[in-house]
Amino acid sequence: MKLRRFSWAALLSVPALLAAVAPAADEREAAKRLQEVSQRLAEESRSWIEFRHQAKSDEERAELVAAFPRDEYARELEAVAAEAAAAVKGSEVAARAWLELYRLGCLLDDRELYQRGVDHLVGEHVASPEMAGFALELVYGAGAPPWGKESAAAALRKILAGAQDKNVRGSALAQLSLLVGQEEAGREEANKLLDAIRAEFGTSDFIGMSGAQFADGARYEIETLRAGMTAPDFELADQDGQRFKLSDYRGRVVLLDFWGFV
Amino acid sequence: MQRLKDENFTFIGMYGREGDPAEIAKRMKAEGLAWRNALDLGEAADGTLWSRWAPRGFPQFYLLDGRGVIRQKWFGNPGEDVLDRSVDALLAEERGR
Repeated sequence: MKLRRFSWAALLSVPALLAAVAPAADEREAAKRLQEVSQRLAEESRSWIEFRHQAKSDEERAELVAAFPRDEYARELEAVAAEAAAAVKGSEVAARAWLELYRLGCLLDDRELYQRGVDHLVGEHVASPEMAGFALELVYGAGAPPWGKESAAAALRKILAGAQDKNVRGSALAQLSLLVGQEEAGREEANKLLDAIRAEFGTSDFIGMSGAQFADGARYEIETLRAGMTAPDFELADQDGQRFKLSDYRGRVVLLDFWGFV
Repeated sequence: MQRLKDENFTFIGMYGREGDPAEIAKRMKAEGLAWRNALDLGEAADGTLWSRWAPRGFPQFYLLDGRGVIRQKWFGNPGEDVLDRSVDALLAEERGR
């Protein structure tokens, strides 16, 4: 069964926001400023992550978190968003600024910044086709901190309710089903979402497969691979041809990484 | 992960893309990647990786405790820091068991 061979990253279309053509002069001005702030923030974040990685203790990590100039960046991003939104209602430049704020919240484990960014995005930009990428980002990688799951689910429900674009609806259905399906308490909601995917996208292309295939795979995962369940065993060969079982490692903490060379 | 080599911890790659085992071994060596992989490809493939784990995309991570119970999972890469801290916390819990 050779299915589902896509990379999550390929679905992240959000950076396209930056390239959005700005029709009004004031919005163009805001776009320029945003690009400058984003670049500075990206550079600062990169070196900061390097420092944090070398931190020896939780105290050192906490000091680094406290030292990040978050208020300055938050102020700049909010000013840009306000300027762009004043020039063009629902401005993609404003959306991009709120996205940066949400990402900064993820980076610094700052729930307040995360929530502020998310609230603006789902409050003012829910009709944007770019919400498809944001829906994925909410459950994917660095955009999905463990403390953000409830907020992310609430945001995805709002995106689902306000979506005007079939792509956005599909993405929100898929991501919300996977997110709430991680917990026993979310099974019922997840299965309803999968039924909607079957009904609306059953035979059409849905993230590189049919909606029905996606729903079958997701249901299997929700029923068998939730936190708290015993992992299914396997016996497979390693790269040197030695066969081994997952259960050979009982008694040890194991991190399984599903990966592949691109 | 190198830092954890003496701990009660194992990192296993679940190789989900197509390829040839010898080629993968060669490329890993060239790139300094030293972990053991479970491969479900080539002549020995039986589809276990796909049928039992149904990965939704790459990368995807599962953290298992000493009893083989899934404790956490991540779609995409949450960052080395998050993975490190989660492994450390679980190792501490297992030591106290």
